[in-house]
Amino acid sequence: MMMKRSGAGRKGYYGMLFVLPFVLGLAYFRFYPFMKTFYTSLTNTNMITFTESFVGFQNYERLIKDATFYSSLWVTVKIWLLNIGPRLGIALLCAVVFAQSRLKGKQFLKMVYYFPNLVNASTIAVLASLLFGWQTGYINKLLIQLGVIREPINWLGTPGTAQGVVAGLIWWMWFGHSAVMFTTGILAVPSEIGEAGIIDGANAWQRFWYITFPMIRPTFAYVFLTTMVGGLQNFEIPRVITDGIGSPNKALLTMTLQMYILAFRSMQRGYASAYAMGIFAFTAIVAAISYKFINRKTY
Amino acid sequence: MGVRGMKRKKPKSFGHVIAYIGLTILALICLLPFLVMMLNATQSHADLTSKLTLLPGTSLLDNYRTMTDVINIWNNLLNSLIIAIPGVILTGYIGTLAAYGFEKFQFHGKGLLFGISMCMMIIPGQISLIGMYEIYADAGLLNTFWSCILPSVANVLTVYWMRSYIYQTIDNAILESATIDGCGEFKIFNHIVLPLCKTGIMTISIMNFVSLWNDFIQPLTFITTKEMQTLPVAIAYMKSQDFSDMGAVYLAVAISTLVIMVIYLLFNAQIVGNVADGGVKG
Repeated sequence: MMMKRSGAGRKGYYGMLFVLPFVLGLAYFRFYPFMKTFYTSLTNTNMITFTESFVGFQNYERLIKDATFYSSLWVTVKIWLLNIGPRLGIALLCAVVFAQSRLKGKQFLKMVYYFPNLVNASTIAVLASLLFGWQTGYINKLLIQLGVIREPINWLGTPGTAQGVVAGLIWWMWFGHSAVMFTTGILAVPSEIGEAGIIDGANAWQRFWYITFPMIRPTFAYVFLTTMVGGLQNFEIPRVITDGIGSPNKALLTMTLQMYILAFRSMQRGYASAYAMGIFAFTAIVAAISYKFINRKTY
Repeated sequence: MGVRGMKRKKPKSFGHVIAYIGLTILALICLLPFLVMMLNATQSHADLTSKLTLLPGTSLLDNYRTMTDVINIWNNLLNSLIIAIPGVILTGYIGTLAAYGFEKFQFHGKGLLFGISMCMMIIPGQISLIGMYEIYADAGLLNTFWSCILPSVANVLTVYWMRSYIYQTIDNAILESATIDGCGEFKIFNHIVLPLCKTGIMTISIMNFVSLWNDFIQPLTFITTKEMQTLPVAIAYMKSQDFSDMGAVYLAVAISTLVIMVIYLLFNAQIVGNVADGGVKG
Protein backbone atom coordinates (compact mmCIF):
# COMPACT_ATOMS: atom_id res chain seq x y z
CA MET A 1 0.00 0.00 0.00
CA MET A 2 2.83 2.36 0.83
CA MET A 3 4.72 1.52 -2.36
CA LYS A 4 2.06 2.97 -4.64
CA ARG A 5 2.54 6.56 -3.57
CA SER A 6 5.89 8.28 -3.75
CA GLY A 7 7.41 9.55 -0.55
CA ALA A 8 6.09 13.01 0.17
CA GLY A 9 8.46 15.92 -0.10
CA ARG A 10 11.36 14.10 -1.65
CA LYS A 11 10.20 14.46 -5.24
CA GLY A 12 7.81 17.30 -4.57
CA TYR A 13 9.73 20.09 -6.21
CA TYR A 14 10.04 18.33 -9.54
CA GLY A 15 6.37 17.53 -9.54
CA MET A 16 5.54 21.19 -9.61
CA LEU A 17 8.03 21.74 -12.38
CA PHE A 18 6.49 19.03 -14.52
CA VAL A 19 2.94 20.27 -14.26
CA LEU A 20 4.00 23.86 -14.77
CA PRO A 21 3.90 24.06 -18.60
CA PHE A 22 0.43 22.58 -18.62
CA VAL A 23 -0.86 24.83 -15.87
CA LEU A 24 0.65 27.90 -17.45
CA GLY A 25 -0.90 26.88 -20.75
CA LEU A 26 -4.27 26.53 -19.08
CA ALA A 27 -3.93 29.92 -17.50
CA TYR A 28 -2.91 31.63 -20.71
CA PHE A 29 -5.13 29.82 -23.21
CA ARG A 30 -8.24 29.09 -21.18
CA PHE A 31 -8.52 31.18 -18.09
CA TYR A 32 -7.05 34.44 -19.34
CA PRO A 33 -9.17 34.49 -22.54
CA PHE A 34 -12.25 33.79 -20.48
CA MET A 35 -11.48 36.72 -18.22
CA LYS A 36 -10.63 38.87 -21.21
CA THR A 37 -13.94 38.06 -22.84
CA PHE A 38 -15.70 38.95 -19.65
CA TYR A 39 -13.83 42.23 -19.40
CA THR A 40 -14.56 43.09 -23.01
CA SER A 41 -18.22 42.47 -22.38
CA LEU A 42 -18.13 45.38 -20.01
CA THR A 43 -16.81 47.73 -22.68
CA ASN A 44 -18.25 49.05 -25.88
CA THR A 45 -15.35 47.86 -27.98
CA ASN A 46 -16.22 48.28 -31.60
CA MET A 47 -13.63 47.92 -34.31
CA ILE A 48 -15.53 50.00 -36.81
CA THR A 49 -16.18 53.06 -34.71
CA PHE A 50 -12.90 52.57 -32.83
CA THR A 51 -14.48 52.94 -29.44
CA GLU A 52 -13.13 51.10 -26.46
CA SER A 53 -14.34 52.40 -23.15
CA PHE A 54 -15.78 50.88 -20.05
CA VAL A 55 -19.55 50.94 -19.97
CA GLY A 56 -20.45 48.60 -17.20
CA PHE A 57 -23.42 46.35 -17.74
CA GLN A 58 -24.83 48.26 -20.66
CA ASN A 59 -24.20 45.38 -23.04
CA TYR A 60 -26.07 43.01 -20.79
CA GLU A 61 -29.04 45.31 -20.65
CA ARG A 62 -29.04 45.32 -24.40
CA LEU A 63 -28.67 41.55 -24.45
CA ILE A 64 -31.70 40.92 -22.30
CA LYS A 65 -33.84 43.02 -24.59
CA ASP A 66 -32.36 41.58 -27.78
CA ALA A 67 -34.95 39.58 -29.70
CA THR A 68 -32.23 37.96 -31.79
CA PHE A 69 -30.64 36.57 -28.65
CA TYR A 70 -33.81 34.74 -27.78
CA SER A 71 -34.47 33.63 -31.33
CA SER A 72 -30.93 32.31 -31.68
CA LEU A 73 -31.32 30.57 -28.35
CA TRP A 74 -34.51 28.93 -29.51
CA VAL A 75 -32.94 27.92 -32.83
CA THR A 76 -30.03 26.29 -31.02
CA VAL A 77 -32.28 24.48 -28.57
CA LYS A 78 -34.73 23.43 -31.26
CA ILE A 79 -32.05 21.88 -33.43
CA TRP A 80 -30.68 20.13 -30.39
CA LEU A 81 -34.09 18.78 -29.43
CA LEU A 82 -34.65 17.54 -32.95
CA ASN A 83 -31.51 15.47 -32.90
CA ILE A 84 -31.27 14.29 -29.32
CA GLY A 85 -34.26 11.96 -29.41
CA PRO A 86 -33.28 9.98 -32.49
CA ARG A 87 -29.66 10.03 -31.49
CA LEU A 88 -30.06 8.59 -28.01
CA GLY A 89 -32.87 6.32 -29.06
CA ILE A 90 -31.09 4.74 -31.97
CA ALA A 91 -27.79 4.64 -30.13
CA LEU A 92 -29.41 2.78 -27.28
CA LEU A 93 -31.06 0.32 -29.62
CA CYS A 94 -27.79 -0.29 -31.39
CA ALA A 95 -25.97 -0.70 -28.12
CA VAL A 96 -28.46 -3.24 -26.85
CA VAL A 97 -28.08 -5.21 -30.02
CA PHE A 98 -24.31 -4.92 -29.98
CA ALA A 99 -24.14 -6.11 -26.44
CA GLN A 100 -25.62 -9.43 -27.49
CA SER A 101 -22.48 -11.23 -28.48
CA ARG A 102 -24.10 -13.40 -31.10
CA LEU A 103 -24.28 -10.73 -33.77
CA LYS A 104 -21.86 -11.26 -36.61
CA GLY A 105 -20.01 -8.35 -38.11
CA LYS A 106 -20.42 -6.30 -34.96
CA GLN A 107 -16.95 -4.77 -35.17
CA PHE A 108 -17.47 -3.83 -38.78
CA LEU A 109 -20.79 -2.16 -38.02
CA LYS A 110 -19.26 -0.21 -35.18
CA MET A 111 -16.56 1.01 -37.52
CA VAL A 112 -19.09 2.07 -40.12
CA TYR A 113 -21.38 3.87 -37.71
CA TYR A 114 -18.48 5.71 -36.16
CA PHE A 115 -17.00 6.97 -39.42
CA PRO A 116 -19.24 10.02 -39.94
CA ASN A 117 -17.97 11.31 -36.63
CA LEU A 118 -14.44 11.57 -37.97
CA VAL A 119 -15.11 13.75 -40.96
CA ASN A 120 -15.15 17.34 -39.91
CA ALA A 121 -18.48 19.04 -39.55
CA SER A 122 -17.70 21.81 -42.00
CA THR A 123 -16.88 19.41 -44.82
CA ILE A 124 -20.03 17.45 -44.08
CA ALA A 125 -21.93 20.71 -44.27
CA VAL A 126 -20.46 21.38 -47.72
CA LEU A 127 -21.41 17.88 -48.83
CA ALA A 128 -24.92 18.39 -47.48
CA SER A 129 -25.21 21.68 -49.35
CA LEU A 130 -24.43 19.79 -52.52
CA LEU A 131 -26.74 16.86 -51.84
CA PHE A 132 -29.67 18.86 -50.55
CA GLY A 133 -29.53 21.54 -53.19
CA TRP A 134 -32.92 22.66 -54.39
CA GLN A 135 -32.82 22.33 -58.16
CA THR A 136 -29.59 20.47 -58.55
CA GLY A 137 -29.28 18.42 -55.40
CA TYR A 138 -28.75 14.69 -55.65
CA ILE A 139 -31.35 13.85 -53.07
CA ASN A 140 -34.13 15.71 -54.80
CA LYS A 141 -33.20 14.07 -58.08
CA LEU A 142 -33.22 10.65 -56.45
CA LEU A 143 -36.56 11.18 -54.76
CA ILE A 144 -38.16 12.41 -57.97
CA GLN A 145 -36.73 9.50 -59.89
CA LEU A 146 -38.11 7.08 -57.33
CA GLY A 147 -41.46 8.77 -57.53
CA VAL A 148 -41.52 9.75 -53.88
CA ILE A 149 -41.99 13.44 -54.63
CA ARG A 150 -42.90 15.35 -57.75
CA GLU A 151 -41.41 18.76 -57.08
CA PRO A 152 -37.93 19.35 -55.72
CA ILE A 153 -38.03 20.26 -52.06
CA ASN A 154 -36.23 23.39 -50.99
CA TRP A 155 -34.50 21.67 -48.11
CA LEU A 156 -32.10 24.38 -47.17
CA GLY A 157 -34.23 27.35 -48.11
CA THR A 158 -37.23 26.57 -45.99
CA PRO A 159 -36.77 27.32 -42.29
CA GLY A 160 -38.40 24.14 -41.01
CA THR A 161 -36.66 21.68 -43.27
CA ALA A 162 -33.35 23.52 -42.97
CA GLN A 163 -33.37 22.99 -39.23
CA GLY A 164 -34.39 19.41 -39.77
CA VAL A 165 -31.50 18.85 -42.16
CA VAL A 166 -29.02 20.34 -39.69
CA ALA A 167 -30.42 18.22 -36.88
CA GLY A 168 -30.26 15.19 -39.14
CA LEU A 169 -26.64 15.89 -40.02
CA ILE A 170 -25.69 16.16 -36.39
CA TRP A 171 -27.55 12.96 -35.66
CA TRP A 172 -25.74 11.26 -38.53
CA MET A 173 -22.37 12.39 -37.22
CA TRP A 174 -22.92 11.37 -33.63
CA PHE A 175 -25.24 8.41 -33.23
CA GLY A 176 -22.41 5.95 -33.88
CA HIS A 177 -20.28 7.62 -31.27
CA SER A 178 -23.09 7.44 -28.72
CA ALA A 179 -23.81 3.83 -29.67
CA VAL A 180 -20.24 2.82 -29.00
CA MET A 181 -20.28 4.56 -25.63
CA PHE A 182 -23.55 2.95 -24.65
CA THR A 183 -22.29 -0.47 -25.71
CA THR A 184 -19.39 -0.13 -23.36
CA GLY A 185 -21.71 0.91 -20.59
CA ILE A 186 -23.99 -2.05 -21.13
CA LEU A 187 -21.15 -4.50 -21.37
CA ALA A 188 -19.88 -3.24 -18.05
CA VAL A 189 -23.05 -4.39 -16.36
CA PRO A 190 -22.31 -7.73 -14.71
CA SER A 191 -24.12 -10.48 -16.53
CA GLU A 192 -25.24 -12.14 -13.32
CA ILE A 193 -27.74 -9.37 -12.83
CA GLY A 194 -29.27 -9.94 -16.23
CA GLU A 195 -29.32 -13.67 -15.63
CA ALA A 196 -30.99 -13.20 -12.30
CA GLY A 197 -33.66 -11.27 -14.13
CA ILE A 198 -34.22 -14.12 -16.54
CA ILE A 199 -34.52 -16.59 -13.71
CA ASP A 200 -37.08 -14.35 -12.13
CA GLY A 201 -39.08 -14.58 -15.34
CA ALA A 202 -38.58 -11.09 -16.70
CA ASN A 203 -38.77 -10.80 -20.47
CA ALA A 204 -36.21 -8.94 -22.59
CA TRP A 205 -37.98 -5.59 -22.44
CA GLN A 206 -38.41 -5.70 -18.71
CA ARG A 207 -34.83 -6.76 -18.27
CA PHE A 208 -33.67 -3.79 -20.25
CA TRP A 209 -35.82 -1.18 -18.63
CA TYR A 210 -35.58 -2.20 -15.01
CA ILE A 211 -32.10 -3.64 -14.87
CA THR A 212 -29.81 -2.58 -17.66
CA PHE A 213 -30.95 0.99 -18.11
CA PRO A 214 -30.59 2.06 -14.49
CA MET A 215 -27.13 0.51 -14.34
CA ILE A 216 -25.91 2.48 -17.32
CA ARG A 217 -27.25 5.69 -15.94
CA PRO A 218 -23.78 7.23 -15.44
CA THR A 219 -22.85 6.51 -19.04
CA PHE A 220 -26.19 7.84 -20.19
CA ALA A 221 -25.74 10.95 -18.08
CA TYR A 222 -22.30 11.57 -19.52
CA VAL A 223 -23.47 11.17 -23.11
CA PHE A 224 -26.53 13.31 -22.47
CA LEU A 225 -24.58 16.12 -20.86
CA THR A 226 -21.82 16.22 -23.44
CA THR A 227 -24.45 16.10 -26.18
CA MET A 228 -26.19 19.03 -24.64
CA VAL A 229 -23.15 21.19 -24.06
CA GLY A 230 -21.96 20.40 -27.56
CA GLY A 231 -25.38 21.07 -29.00
CA LEU A 232 -25.60 24.48 -27.43
CA GLN A 233 -22.35 25.44 -29.13
CA ASN A 234 -23.63 24.47 -32.56
CA PHE A 235 -21.67 26.60 -34.98
CA GLU A 236 -19.94 24.87 -37.87
CA ILE A 237 -22.74 23.27 -39.80
CA PRO A 238 -25.11 26.26 -39.75
CA ARG A 239 -22.30 28.60 -40.59
CA VAL A 240 -21.01 26.66 -43.55
CA ILE A 241 -24.42 25.82 -44.95
CA THR A 242 -25.51 29.43 -44.82
CA ASP A 243 -22.10 30.95 -45.57
CA GLY A 244 -22.22 32.70 -42.25
CA ILE A 245 -25.59 34.36 -42.42
CA GLY A 246 -27.95 32.02 -40.67
CA SER A 247 -30.64 32.25 -43.29
CA PRO A 248 -33.29 31.59 -44.23
CA ASN A 249 -34.98 34.07 -42.03
CA LYS A 250 -32.58 33.45 -39.16
CA ALA A 251 -33.75 29.86 -39.01
CA LEU A 252 -30.21 28.58 -38.76
CA LEU A 253 -28.85 31.44 -36.70
CA THR A 254 -27.56 29.59 -33.67
CA MET A 255 -26.25 31.39 -30.61
CA THR A 256 -22.61 30.88 -31.39
CA LEU A 257 -23.10 31.88 -35.01
CA GLN A 258 -24.69 35.15 -33.99
CA MET A 259 -21.88 35.74 -31.52
CA TYR A 260 -19.38 35.17 -34.30
CA ILE A 261 -21.16 37.51 -36.67
CA LEU A 262 -21.29 40.23 -34.03
CA ALA A 263 -17.63 39.85 -33.16
CA PHE A 264 -16.05 39.41 -36.55
CA ARG A 265 -18.44 40.81 -39.11
CA SER A 266 -20.10 43.77 -37.54
CA MET A 267 -17.07 44.12 -35.30
CA GLN A 268 -19.02 44.81 -32.15
CA ARG A 269 -16.66 42.97 -29.88
CA GLY A 270 -17.97 44.42 -26.68
CA TYR A 271 -21.51 43.31 -27.28
CA ALA A 272 -20.39 40.00 -28.78
CA SER A 273 -18.50 39.28 -25.57
CA ALA A 274 -21.63 39.87 -23.56
CA TYR A 275 -23.38 37.51 -25.96
CA ALA A 276 -20.70 34.91 -25.30
CA MET A 277 -21.23 35.30 -21.58
CA GLY A 278 -24.93 34.87 -22.12
CA ILE A 279 -24.32 31.62 -23.94
CA PHE A 280 -22.03 30.47 -21.16
CA ALA A 281 -24.55 31.32 -18.46
CA PHE A 282 -27.33 29.52 -20.28
CA THR A 283 -25.14 26.45 -20.85
CA ALA A 284 -24.07 26.33 -17.23
CA ILE A 285 -27.61 26.59 -15.94
CA VAL A 286 -28.97 23.93 -18.25
CA ALA A 287 -26.03 21.64 -17.53
CA ALA A 288 -26.51 22.00 -13.80
CA ILE A 289 -30.22 21.27 -14.02
CA SER A 290 -29.74 18.26 -16.25
CA TYR A 291 -27.01 16.91 -14.07
CA LYS A 292 -29.22 17.06 -11.01
CA PHE A 293 -32.14 15.61 -12.88
CA ILE A 294 -30.24 12.68 -14.29
CA ASN A 295 -28.37 11.86 -11.17
CA ARG A 296 -31.48 11.78 -9.04
CA LYS A 297 -31.10 8.19 -8.04
CA THR A 298 -27.70 6.80 -7.30
CA TYR A 299 -26.91 3.25 -6.50
CA MET B 1 -36.65 -6.29 -28.41
CA GLY B 2 -36.88 -9.81 -29.65
CA VAL B 3 -33.23 -10.65 -29.16
CA ARG B 4 -33.07 -13.81 -27.15
CA GLY B 5 -29.67 -14.06 -25.62
CA MET B 6 -30.12 -17.12 -23.52
CA LYS B 7 -32.12 -19.52 -25.64
CA ARG B 8 -29.54 -20.92 -28.01
CA LYS B 9 -31.83 -23.36 -29.74
CA LYS B 10 -33.87 -20.89 -31.79
CA PRO B 11 -32.02 -20.09 -35.05
CA LYS B 12 -33.17 -16.75 -36.42
CA SER B 13 -36.21 -15.26 -34.81
CA PHE B 14 -38.33 -12.52 -36.29
CA GLY B 15 -36.68 -10.06 -34.00
CA HIS B 16 -33.30 -10.99 -35.40
CA VAL B 17 -34.40 -10.29 -38.93
CA ILE B 18 -35.78 -6.91 -37.98
CA ALA B 19 -32.57 -6.10 -36.18
CA TYR B 20 -30.44 -7.06 -39.15
CA ILE B 21 -32.54 -5.04 -41.55
CA GLY B 22 -32.42 -2.01 -39.27
CA LEU B 23 -28.68 -2.26 -38.79
CA THR B 24 -28.09 -2.61 -42.49
CA ILE B 25 -30.20 0.43 -43.24
CA LEU B 26 -28.19 2.40 -40.72
CA ALA B 27 -24.95 1.24 -42.29
CA LEU B 28 -26.17 2.29 -45.71
CA ILE B 29 -27.16 5.69 -44.36
CA CYS B 30 -23.64 6.08 -43.06
CA LEU B 31 -21.86 4.96 -46.20
CA LEU B 32 -23.98 6.04 -49.14
CA PRO B 33 -23.32 9.77 -48.88
CA PHE B 34 -19.62 9.08 -49.28
CA LEU B 35 -20.19 6.83 -52.24
CA VAL B 36 -22.30 9.51 -53.90
CA MET B 37 -19.62 12.02 -53.07
CA MET B 38 -16.92 10.04 -54.83
CA LEU B 39 -19.21 9.29 -57.72
CA ASN B 40 -20.10 12.90 -58.26
CA ALA B 41 -16.52 14.06 -57.98
CA THR B 42 -16.05 12.56 -61.41
CA GLN B 43 -19.07 14.23 -62.96
CA SER B 44 -19.24 17.47 -64.83
CA HIS B 45 -21.39 20.27 -63.54
CA ALA B 46 -23.64 20.00 -66.57
CA ASP B 47 -24.32 16.35 -65.90
CA LEU B 48 -24.90 16.92 -62.22
CA THR B 49 -27.52 19.56 -62.83
CA SER B 50 -29.37 17.79 -65.56
CA LYS B 51 -29.62 14.19 -64.49
CA LEU B 52 -29.33 11.68 -61.70
CA THR B 53 -25.80 10.34 -61.86
CA LEU B 54 -25.44 6.70 -61.00
CA LEU B 55 -22.18 5.74 -62.67
CA PRO B 56 -18.77 7.37 -62.59
CA GLY B 57 -18.27 10.17 -65.08
CA THR B 58 -15.29 11.40 -67.00
CA SER B 59 -14.76 14.88 -65.65
CA LEU B 60 -12.32 14.13 -62.89
CA LEU B 61 -9.47 16.08 -64.45
CA ASP B 62 -11.67 19.02 -65.40
CA ASN B 63 -13.02 19.19 -61.89
CA TYR B 64 -9.51 19.05 -60.57
CA ARG B 65 -8.45 21.99 -62.69
CA THR B 66 -11.47 24.03 -61.69
CA MET B 67 -10.94 23.23 -58.06
CA THR B 68 -7.31 24.26 -58.05
CA ASP B 69 -8.28 27.57 -59.60
CA VAL B 70 -10.18 28.45 -56.49
CA ILE B 71 -8.16 26.78 -53.76
CA ASN B 72 -4.76 25.19 -53.71
CA ILE B 73 -5.91 22.11 -51.88
CA TRP B 74 -2.53 20.51 -51.39
CA ASN B 75 -1.32 23.71 -49.81
CA ASN B 76 -4.25 23.67 -47.42
CA LEU B 77 -3.57 20.04 -46.65
CA LEU B 78 -0.02 20.94 -45.81
CA ASN B 79 -1.21 23.77 -43.58
CA SER B 80 -3.46 21.40 -41.71
CA LEU B 81 -0.46 19.13 -41.20
CA ILE B 82 1.71 22.02 -40.07
CA ILE B 83 -0.79 22.68 -37.32
CA ALA B 84 -1.84 19.16 -36.45
CA ILE B 85 1.52 17.44 -36.12
CA PRO B 86 3.31 19.91 -33.82
CA GLY B 87 0.06 20.31 -31.92
CA VAL B 88 -0.20 16.61 -31.27
CA ILE B 89 3.45 16.35 -30.24
CA LEU B 90 3.01 19.29 -27.91
CA THR B 91 -0.07 17.84 -26.30
CA GLY B 92 1.52 14.43 -26.00
CA TYR B 93 4.69 15.60 -24.36
CA ILE B 94 3.40 18.37 -22.11
CA GLY B 95 0.30 16.40 -21.27
CA THR B 96 2.21 13.29 -20.26
CA LEU B 97 4.68 15.42 -18.34
CA ALA B 98 1.87 17.03 -16.37
CA ALA B 99 0.09 13.72 -15.86
CA TYR B 100 3.31 12.23 -14.52
CA GLY B 101 3.77 15.20 -12.22
CA PHE B 102 0.24 14.92 -10.91
CA GLU B 103 0.33 11.19 -10.47
CA LYS B 104 3.72 10.33 -9.10
CA PHE B 105 4.63 13.37 -7.07
CA GLN B 106 3.35 14.97 -3.94
CA PHE B 107 3.37 18.69 -3.45
CA HIS B 108 1.32 21.32 -1.76
CA GLY B 109 -1.84 22.29 -3.55
CA LYS B 110 -1.63 19.40 -5.98
CA GLY B 111 -5.21 18.34 -5.46
CA LEU B 112 -6.51 21.87 -5.77
CA LEU B 113 -4.53 22.48 -8.92
CA PHE B 114 -5.77 19.29 -10.51
CA GLY B 115 -9.33 20.09 -9.53
CA ILE B 116 -9.13 23.56 -11.02
CA SER B 117 -7.69 22.10 -14.20
CA MET B 118 -10.63 19.75 -14.51
CA CYS B 119 -13.00 22.67 -14.02
CA MET B 120 -11.42 24.40 -16.98
CA MET B 121 -13.01 21.75 -19.15
CA ILE B 122 -16.33 23.39 -18.45
CA ILE B 123 -15.41 26.59 -20.24
CA PRO B 124 -16.47 25.97 -23.81
CA GLY B 125 -14.02 27.01 -26.48
CA GLN B 126 -16.37 29.43 -28.20
CA ILE B 127 -16.63 31.57 -25.09
CA SER B 128 -12.92 32.15 -24.97
CA LEU B 129 -12.75 32.77 -28.69
CA ILE B 130 -13.11 36.52 -28.56
CA GLY B 131 -10.74 36.79 -25.65
CA MET B 132 -8.16 34.63 -27.39
CA TYR B 133 -8.47 36.76 -30.50
CA GLU B 134 -7.69 39.88 -28.54
CA ILE B 135 -4.80 38.27 -26.69
CA TYR B 136 -3.35 37.07 -29.96
CA ALA B 137 -3.83 40.48 -31.54
CA ASP B 138 -1.91 42.13 -28.73
CA ALA B 139 0.83 39.50 -28.84
CA GLY B 140 1.18 39.72 -32.60
CA LEU B 141 0.25 36.09 -33.01
CA LEU B 142 -2.72 36.63 -35.27
CA ASN B 143 -2.45 35.04 -38.67
CA THR B 144 0.32 32.71 -37.65
CA PHE B 145 0.31 28.95 -37.35
CA TRP B 146 1.29 29.32 -33.70
CA SER B 147 -2.16 30.64 -32.91
CA CYS B 148 -3.59 27.21 -33.64
CA ILE B 149 -0.70 25.12 -32.39
CA LEU B 150 0.02 26.65 -28.99
CA PRO B 151 -3.38 26.04 -27.37
CA SER B 152 -2.53 22.34 -27.60
CA VAL B 153 -0.49 22.86 -24.46
CA ALA B 154 -3.70 23.10 -22.46
CA ASN B 155 -5.39 19.81 -23.30
CA VAL B 156 -7.12 18.81 -20.10
CA LEU B 157 -8.57 15.57 -21.40
CA THR B 158 -5.13 14.27 -22.34
CA VAL B 159 -3.74 14.99 -18.91
CA TYR B 160 -6.70 13.33 -17.26
CA TRP B 161 -6.49 10.26 -19.48
CA MET B 162 -2.70 9.92 -19.26
CA ARG B 163 -2.83 10.26 -15.52
CA SER B 164 -4.91 7.14 -15.09
CA TYR B 165 -2.81 5.45 -17.75
CA ILE B 166 0.36 6.18 -15.83
CA TYR B 167 -1.28 4.98 -12.65
CA GLN B 168 -2.02 1.65 -14.28
CA THR B 169 1.20 1.25 -16.14
CA ILE B 170 4.11 2.55 -14.13
CA ASP B 171 5.21 0.90 -10.97
CA ASN B 172 6.97 3.04 -8.41
CA ALA B 173 9.65 0.38 -8.09
CA ILE B 174 11.12 1.26 -11.46
CA LEU B 175 11.27 4.92 -10.55
CA GLU B 176 12.86 4.18 -7.19
CA SER B 177 15.61 2.04 -8.65
CA ALA B 178 16.37 4.63 -11.29
CA THR B 179 16.72 7.29 -8.63
CA ILE B 180 19.02 5.06 -6.63
CA ASP B 181 21.13 4.64 -9.74
CA GLY B 182 21.58 8.38 -9.73
CA CYS B 183 19.23 9.39 -12.53
CA GLY B 184 17.91 12.92 -12.54
CA GLU B 185 14.15 13.44 -12.67
CA PHE B 186 14.06 14.66 -16.26
CA LYS B 187 16.19 11.75 -17.35
CA ILE B 188 13.81 9.37 -15.63
CA PHE B 189 10.90 10.93 -17.43
CA ASN B 190 12.46 10.99 -20.87
CA HIS B 191 14.17 7.61 -20.78
CA ILE B 192 11.88 5.50 -18.63
CA VAL B 193 8.39 6.95 -18.30
CA LEU B 194 7.88 8.06 -21.88
CA PRO B 195 8.87 4.75 -23.49
CA LEU B 196 6.65 2.87 -21.07
CA CYS B 197 3.71 5.07 -21.99
CA LYS B 198 4.25 4.77 -25.69
CA THR B 199 1.05 2.86 -26.45
CA GLY B 200 -1.12 5.18 -24.42
CA ILE B 201 0.43 8.26 -25.96
CA MET B 202 -0.09 6.83 -29.43
CA THR B 203 -3.75 6.19 -28.73
CA ILE B 204 -4.53 9.60 -27.30
CA SER B 205 -2.42 11.27 -29.96
CA ILE B 206 -4.49 9.80 -32.74
CA MET B 207 -7.63 11.20 -31.16
CA ASN B 208 -5.95 14.57 -30.71
CA PHE B 209 -4.77 14.54 -34.30
CA VAL B 210 -8.26 13.98 -35.61
CA SER B 211 -9.55 16.79 -33.38
CA LEU B 212 -6.92 19.23 -34.52
CA TRP B 213 -7.23 18.22 -38.14
CA ASN B 214 -10.96 18.83 -38.06
CA ASP B 215 -10.79 22.06 -36.11
CA PHE B 216 -12.71 24.74 -37.95
CA ILE B 217 -13.50 27.72 -35.78
CA GLN B 218 -9.96 28.41 -34.61
CA PRO B 219 -8.24 28.57 -38.00
CA LEU B 220 -11.25 30.43 -39.31
CA THR B 221 -10.94 33.10 -36.65
CA PHE B 222 -7.19 33.42 -36.22
CA ILE B 223 -5.84 32.89 -39.73
CA THR B 224 -6.81 35.37 -42.37
CA THR B 225 -4.39 34.71 -45.21
CA LYS B 226 -5.84 32.39 -47.79
CA GLU B 227 -2.54 30.66 -48.44
CA MET B 228 -2.23 29.72 -44.80
CA GLN B 229 -5.71 28.35 -44.38
CA THR B 230 -6.34 24.82 -43.26
CA LEU B 231 -8.26 22.22 -45.22
CA PRO B 232 -11.70 22.42 -43.56
CA VAL B 233 -11.80 26.20 -43.85
CA ALA B 234 -10.61 26.09 -47.45
CA ILE B 235 -13.37 23.71 -48.42
CA ALA B 236 -16.00 25.91 -46.81
CA TYR B 237 -14.44 28.86 -48.59
CA MET B 238 -14.67 27.10 -51.90
CA LYS B 239 -18.30 26.42 -51.30
CA SER B 240 -19.05 30.04 -50.58
CA GLN B 241 -17.03 31.35 -53.51
CA ASP B 242 -17.58 29.05 -56.39
CA PHE B 243 -20.52 26.82 -56.04
CA SER B 244 -21.17 27.08 -59.72
CA ASP B 245 -19.11 24.03 -60.51
CA MET B 246 -20.50 21.33 -58.29
CA GLY B 247 -18.21 18.65 -59.61
CA ALA B 248 -15.20 20.57 -58.41
CA VAL B 249 -16.69 21.06 -54.96
CA TYR B 250 -17.51 17.35 -54.72
CA LEU B 251 -13.91 16.64 -55.58
CA ALA B 252 -12.60 18.93 -52.87
CA VAL B 253 -14.85 17.28 -50.32
CA ALA B 254 -13.77 13.85 -51.57
CA ILE B 255 -10.08 14.60 -51.21
CA SER B 256 -10.59 15.91 -47.70
CA THR B 257 -12.62 12.88 -46.72
CA LEU B 258 -10.17 10.43 -48.24
CA VAL B 259 -7.44 11.68 -45.95
CA ILE B 260 -9.56 10.91 -42.91
CA MET B 261 -10.57 7.59 -44.39
CA VAL B 262 -6.96 6.53 -44.74
CA ILE B 263 -6.19 7.53 -41.17
CA TYR B 264 -9.27 5.68 -39.99
CA LEU B 265 -8.44 2.48 -41.84
CA LEU B 266 -4.95 2.51 -40.42
CA PHE B 267 -5.84 3.38 -36.88
CA ASN B 268 -9.45 2.40 -36.37
CA ALA B 269 -8.63 0.00 -33.60
CA GLN B 270 -7.26 2.80 -31.50
CA ILE B 271 -9.97 5.27 -32.37
CA VAL B 272 -13.04 3.15 -31.77
CA GLY B 273 -11.38 1.20 -29.01
CA ASN B 274 -10.44 4.31 -27.12
CA VAL B 275 -13.97 5.63 -27.18
CA ALA B 276 -15.43 2.27 -26.34
CA ASP B 277 -13.36 1.75 -23.26
CA GLY B 278 -14.27 5.13 -21.91
CA GLY B 279 -10.67 6.10 -22.32
CA VAL B 280 -9.19 4.20 -19.45
CA LYS B 281 -7.63 1.41 -21.42
CA GLY B 282 -3.95 0.69 -20.92
